Amino acid sequence: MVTTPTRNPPRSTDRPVSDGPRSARISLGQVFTAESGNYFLLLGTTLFLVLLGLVMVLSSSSIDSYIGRQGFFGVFWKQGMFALIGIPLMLVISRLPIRFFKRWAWVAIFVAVGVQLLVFTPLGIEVGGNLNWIGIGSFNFQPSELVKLALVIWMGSILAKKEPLLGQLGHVAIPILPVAGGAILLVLLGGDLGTVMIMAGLVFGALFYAGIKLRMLFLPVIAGALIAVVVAFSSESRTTRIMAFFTGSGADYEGTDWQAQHGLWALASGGVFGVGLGNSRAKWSWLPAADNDYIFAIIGEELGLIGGVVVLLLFIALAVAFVRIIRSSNDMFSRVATGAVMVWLIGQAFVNIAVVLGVLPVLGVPLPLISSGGSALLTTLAAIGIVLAIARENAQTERAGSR
Amino acid sequence: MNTAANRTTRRRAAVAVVAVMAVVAVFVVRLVSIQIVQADTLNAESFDKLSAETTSYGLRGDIVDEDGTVLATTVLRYDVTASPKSVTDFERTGDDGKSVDVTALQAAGEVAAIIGQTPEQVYGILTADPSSNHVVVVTGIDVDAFRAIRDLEIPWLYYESNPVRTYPNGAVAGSVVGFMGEDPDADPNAADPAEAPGESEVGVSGVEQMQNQCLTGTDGVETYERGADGVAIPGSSETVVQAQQGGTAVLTLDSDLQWFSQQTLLARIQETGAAWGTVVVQEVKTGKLLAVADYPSVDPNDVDATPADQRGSIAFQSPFEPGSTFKALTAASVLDAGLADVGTQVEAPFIYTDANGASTRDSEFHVDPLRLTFAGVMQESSNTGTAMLGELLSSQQRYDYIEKFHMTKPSEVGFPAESGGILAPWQDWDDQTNLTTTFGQGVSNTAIQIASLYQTLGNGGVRLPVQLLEGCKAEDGTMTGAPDATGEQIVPSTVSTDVVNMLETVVSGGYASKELSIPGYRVAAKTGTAQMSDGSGAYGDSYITSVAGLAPAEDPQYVVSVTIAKPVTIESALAAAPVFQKIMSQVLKEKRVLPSTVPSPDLPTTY
Repeated sequence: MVTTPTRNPPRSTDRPVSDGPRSARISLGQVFTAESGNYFLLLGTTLFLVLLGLVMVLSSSSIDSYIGRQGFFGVFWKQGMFALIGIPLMLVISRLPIRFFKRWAWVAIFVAVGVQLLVFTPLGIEVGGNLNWIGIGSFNFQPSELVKLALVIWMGSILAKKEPLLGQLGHVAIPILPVAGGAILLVLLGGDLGTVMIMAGLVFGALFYAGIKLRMLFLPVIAGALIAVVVAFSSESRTTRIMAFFTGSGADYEGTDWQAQHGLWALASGGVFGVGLGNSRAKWSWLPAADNDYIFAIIGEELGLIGGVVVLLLFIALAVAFVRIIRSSNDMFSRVATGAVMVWLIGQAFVNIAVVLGVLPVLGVPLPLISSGGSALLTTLAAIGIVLAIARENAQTERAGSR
Repeated sequence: MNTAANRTTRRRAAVAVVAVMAVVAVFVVRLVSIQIVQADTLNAESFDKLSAETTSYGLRGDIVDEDGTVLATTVLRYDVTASPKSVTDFERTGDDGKSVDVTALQAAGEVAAIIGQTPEQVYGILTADPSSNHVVVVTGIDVDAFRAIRDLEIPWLYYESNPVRTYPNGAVAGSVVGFMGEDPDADPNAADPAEAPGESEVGVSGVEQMQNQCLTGTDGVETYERGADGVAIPGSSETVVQAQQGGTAVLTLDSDLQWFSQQTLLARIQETGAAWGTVVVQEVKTGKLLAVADYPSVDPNDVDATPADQRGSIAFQSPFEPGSTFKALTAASVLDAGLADVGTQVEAPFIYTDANGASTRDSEFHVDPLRLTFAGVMQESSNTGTAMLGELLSSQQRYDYIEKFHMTKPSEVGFPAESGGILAPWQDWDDQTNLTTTFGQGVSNTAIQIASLYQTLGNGGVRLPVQLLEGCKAEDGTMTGAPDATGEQIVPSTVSTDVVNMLETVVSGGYASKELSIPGYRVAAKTGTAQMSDGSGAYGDSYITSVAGLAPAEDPQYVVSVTIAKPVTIESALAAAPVFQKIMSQVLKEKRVLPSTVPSPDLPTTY
């Protein structure tokens, strides 16, 4: 056999393979194939959100960053650096085959849970009453972000493996309840209820798009909600925050209501057209998390109702892309992973915006792709990378199917 | 893949889309509600919290002399305060970008070096009460010191500016310029205790008081948006009320001449051991006061150094019996009435007793009556001669003339607490007063009134309003409040010229001729040595010596009137004469008045 230099050895049986020594064909695989519309819809929306995020992080962080002796660009450069790492990372992940994710699913979940456990070691850092950060040197990150990513892969892979048995409650419950439930419990022990809610939503989203019967999901949802209520009122800070929400604004201006009130004032001063990029007043130390949990308030202030609606439309576009990818998927992993990522990102975005708009009490979740925060941006982009990989393989399957 | 599962997936995907749309719809409604419907309410709510108000000072205007020399101005002075609670070591980034740690003690030392204290003093102030939020480090530092301290970039120091009144020329014209003090009309209960002393002050003396309305600025209000740490957000400041800077009070005074007058007066008063004195320099053709010197006089920069009863202007406020300088008025009256002329001959005895039995005597004893012309009476300053000529007029006529010469009312200047002189109505004159008013006893006038009398005589009998103020100059340069300069013919010019010619004989041949003459110029002047009332209605043994005169006599340009009270070493007008001579010389030199070319008429004084 003549050795043919192949850059991308054939790996799928449904692909035409060169046979015979005379046809020395060089297969370039999918390197130059055009991607599907879903792929570009998701990629385009994501890049737009990241860029908008960078602009708004620069605007909203500059003052606090300067006061914190990092210069006006301190937070921005850091965020920009993570975007510069995150976007290539997403593109690289989008080239990986689905087999790869399935193979590494268990490793991913064990590593992620292992890192999450480090929170309880001296490496753990408490931020705002939540033990959910790890600090190594000057670099701080949230291991729960890694857990979310691992859960996406693991849920997809385990449900794909169990596909024929999903009608039976026991087979659904046994690996998922201890592993996913355990991972969520770890985060809950750290006290970060907002993240726990997002992770629980992620797990239910995975199950939902796995096609699990709704009556099997009903009990766990009720149980989860009950646990959430109990946990919510277990800590004093959360209780006062929630009570502040229900007693209405102005109840404790200097205390629990401060953030919500200044968020509303920021939005109100924006009006329809906004005060203009960079002209926010709330970022002058009024909003404690202007570049983070409350960045949507700054967007609403600087870019007005129009800017706020554009952000909402971008998340709709993101949701539409996810839904289209789910619908074009023929395998369980793709549906589950995409559904999980969708519930994670869209759910988190909506919870964040709902908090800023005063629809929900303050929960402390950032706005995906827009808020500053390096580990969150990296894992979010990685998750989107997985969905991009799925969209790519869906398109190939379709092409192969139609051949 | 089976079709049932596929259908489930499609249905569930549709659920996601519907759910997302529903949530977004809620969000958009909420956004519209916050950003449009409730926006005004929320903005009004946040305004108090996010905005701050600041006073933009409408500074009090300057007081300047005729050529713009600043006599009073307002500057900003700075108070430095600290928050002891937050006094810590801090990091300072130098120009080279390197950070240096600075300890609180070092910082205190740096501040101390600028304000001239020891590091321990400043550190002591800062650390006296570490739980305090506010402590005053230093007050009233000037802008250079303020900038130097600010450049130290000490994060726990705070600065406040206050307008402060200052008088760059110190005591020059101090008694005229006046000073600031607590508003006597202010309701003490309404005073804001937080207000720094000085902010509620008004002019309480001199021009400061007289032109308070012109000088007072109106503070403006600016709002700005601020960060939570109190920092003003750049570009957010808005002027709500425009600050109005106070106007500039432009005086007619010539500060150089003023200084010279004060110095000359002070030197002579010290030489003669006198109690007080004044010098008034007035321009004959305009009525403008060029110098008003008082001794004692207040330094407005240090008001407390002068006793409260000596802080005013003697020239404007304290009438005294002028004595012989008043004889010029009697002469003008008699001449105007046509009852005598410059050559009218009088036999003036040492003692004269009139028809009413009132009597007076000359200052120098003489056995034989002096055979004097009217001019000679002036030259010799004969009391008996003046009384004899004066009594050609009735009491009422003389009173009317005194009134006509504005010697019974304050000048047009309107100086605070300005006196209009003291003179009883003629009906109330006793026999002695009836006699002595002819030569300036029993009547009191201010130095300003005497100067104005001589101005009238020097200006062809036309009295011009006395002016101290050119006007009030607004920020945009427009001048308002310029005083009326319309003259009033008091006596015909023939009369006034005759009087000036008679007064010239005083300088050319009187006893103080040497002390009054100015080489190259014809000078007309009259000396006076008046007995001072001892306060109980009788005359004591102290004197007010004075000289009032005009130069050049052929076309008088300037009046100089000098008064020195209670001289000890010399008890005659010779105490005042050298002051007159020096100041008149200075005026003629400074104003470049051409020397006299017309010969003196040399009126005969004896027969």
